[in-house]
Amino acid sequence: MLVSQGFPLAESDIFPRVLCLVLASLLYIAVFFAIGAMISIYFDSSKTALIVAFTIWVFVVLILPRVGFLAAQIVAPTSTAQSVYREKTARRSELRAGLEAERGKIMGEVITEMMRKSNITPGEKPGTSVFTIGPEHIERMDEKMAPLEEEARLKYRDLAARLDRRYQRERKHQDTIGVNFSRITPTASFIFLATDATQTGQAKKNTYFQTGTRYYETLDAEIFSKMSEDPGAHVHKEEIPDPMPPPSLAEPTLAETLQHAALDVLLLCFFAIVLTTVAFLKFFRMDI
Amino acid sequence: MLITLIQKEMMHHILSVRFVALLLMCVLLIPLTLSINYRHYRQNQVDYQEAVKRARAEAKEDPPNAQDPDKEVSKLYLNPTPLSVFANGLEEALPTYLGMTRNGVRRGSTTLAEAPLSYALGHLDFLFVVSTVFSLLALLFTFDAVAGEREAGTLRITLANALPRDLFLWSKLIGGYVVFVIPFLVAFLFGLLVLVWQGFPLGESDIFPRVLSLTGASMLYIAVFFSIGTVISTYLDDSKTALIVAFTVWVFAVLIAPRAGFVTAKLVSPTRTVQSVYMEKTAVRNNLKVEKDEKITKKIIDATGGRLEIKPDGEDNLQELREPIETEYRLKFEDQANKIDRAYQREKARQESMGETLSRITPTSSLTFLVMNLTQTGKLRRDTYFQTGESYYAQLNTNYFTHISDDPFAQMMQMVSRMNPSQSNDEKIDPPPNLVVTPLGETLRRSVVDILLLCFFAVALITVAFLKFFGLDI
Repeated sequence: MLVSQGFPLAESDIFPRVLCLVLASLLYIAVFFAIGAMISIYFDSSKTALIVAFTIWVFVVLILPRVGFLAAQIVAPTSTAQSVYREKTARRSELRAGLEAERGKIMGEVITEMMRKSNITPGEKPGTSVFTIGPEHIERMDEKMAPLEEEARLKYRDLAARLDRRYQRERKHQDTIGVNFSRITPTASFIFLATDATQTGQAKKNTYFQTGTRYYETLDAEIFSKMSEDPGAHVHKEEIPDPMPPPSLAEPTLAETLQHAALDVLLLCFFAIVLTTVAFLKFFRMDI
Repeated sequence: MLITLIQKEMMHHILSVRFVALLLMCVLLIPLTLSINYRHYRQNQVDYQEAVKRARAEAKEDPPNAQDPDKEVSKLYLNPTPLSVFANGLEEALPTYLGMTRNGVRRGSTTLAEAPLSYALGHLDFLFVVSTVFSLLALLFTFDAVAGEREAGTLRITLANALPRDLFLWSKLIGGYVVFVIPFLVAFLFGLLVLVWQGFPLGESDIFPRVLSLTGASMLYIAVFFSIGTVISTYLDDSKTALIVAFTVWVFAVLIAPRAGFVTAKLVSPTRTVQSVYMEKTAVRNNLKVEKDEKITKKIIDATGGRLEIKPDGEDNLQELREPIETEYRLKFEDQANKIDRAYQREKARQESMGETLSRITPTSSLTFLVMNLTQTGKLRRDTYFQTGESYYAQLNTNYFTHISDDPFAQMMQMVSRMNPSQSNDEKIDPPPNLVVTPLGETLRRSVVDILLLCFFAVALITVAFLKFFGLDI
């Protein structure tokens, strides 16, 4: 049906992935066969076995995969994206205020110098004096401000990077804990494996965000770093290049996907083998 | 007699494996999900407050330039509802804010974007526990109510006494239901205590009746699955077959049919996307703008002979020439945009209504719609949110957007007026309105179909079970 609707099944990147998906499904079904066999061997009454099997199914399929991430939220709470943004905004405002104060101070110095040149003593009340701040004064102010701006920009960049890193670290830690907790059940392993194979899972998410971060870094180096934090600064538009187009998303190859999902494949194999072994051992010793 | 039979039935259930399973689910799941979801709600609340505060501060510090038709001049944020601890519903799927632009209402990102990996595994809340887990347990409690007794041969012995068949079946239903519902209610009560201890405002006049209605809806839903189990049990001789059939029915009723309804609706009546509607409106605006600019330029040049005078005080002396053309094109745009919007809304509403109706073939959908409406995380809430956004947009359109002109002469005047600090832009923008909460009476009125459907399922299935049992050859 899919092929008749135009699905490109024969494409070199699609067919192996569909095959992997089928194999993963078979492996997952094998795990549940093993669970069923084990329950059947442990209970004498088929009705009780069925009830126990349903209860286990409810836990394994419906509850535990969802509980994993909830437990991770309790074990490793993170700050929110909002709070990180808030912290960054607060620090940016602080730096801007600092720069404005510096600019005010420099402007004061320029005016004092102009007054001195006009033979006016500061604090004196001589009537109306007119000063013209020409391009040469602005240039001098910009010259004095340039190192301060650069310092503030680097400071902010470091701080923002540090905050971002901390937030990403926290999120990653929580995500890892959630993923590992939920892997207690074969259903979660199967979901991670299947979503990775179909390029809709964690691998895709990571590639997407990493590409975004790299794109941001390029834009930051080429454009954002050339913008001044100081609202009074005169930015020459020609110095800032046009933004480059966003890069295309690189799709991970099948080998990379399998490498990323190796743990889930191994876990599914482990569940199938261990549960089948337990079933066999119990059956060998069973008093019939 | 009935009491004795009920007591016997209760003892039978209490001593069985399924009661252990029920206790386990009740004790572990209900308090845990409520407690964790409340933490989640509090986090959302903090985020919401911060976002609103930030938007206000940004608007004050750097007033938006509404000349840009894509610029969001104001945002209507969606405040999280405390009842979302019971059912997450559409809350995470709704945009966190609605941005007001000259081109229309633009939707912000959804909370779901923050947690893609856990989303793949599903959300755990009270609604999920009741609709999925407890429905299966209800079937486990009833699959052998009649089939088990028939299989063991005890039904024939019991009914050989002077015992009416209806009393026998009532005792099965009532006994099982009481044993099922008591641990459920105790666990729910314990969960509520945990919530109150964490600071949940359960005593509030708008919250307590909703929680009570939620409990009632859950008990009605459990009753429906009790009756489904009983029907299956009366129709089959073998309890094992009954259990397998019950499980298959459960998979269809709980996991497949609710989803299939909307999938079918998408196939039967497809719609366009929001983006395509937005793009269509932008294209209409751009076309009209080009046409209008040409017309205004021609008129001004004709009137002034090409000699333009810009007064430093920002007084717009060309206003009289521009106004009639601007009004004409504004009305034209509004007319065309409204047509596009209405067509899209009609398509969407038809598809959704079809999906909703089709999915109501199963009681799970009715419970889901009912509980989501009760917890203010459902369709009602979504409609209120979007309607408030639309009326806010209409208000801004009348009071603010209509005064902004796109033609180059007006833009020059607006630039001059912006340079004048006494005429600040942000003063003209009305603040976003508060989201109105639908009262409980109105919620129940809007959910009456779901309530009646749940009652219908319960009554009809119990009737079928009784009729079959009365005609049963034992």
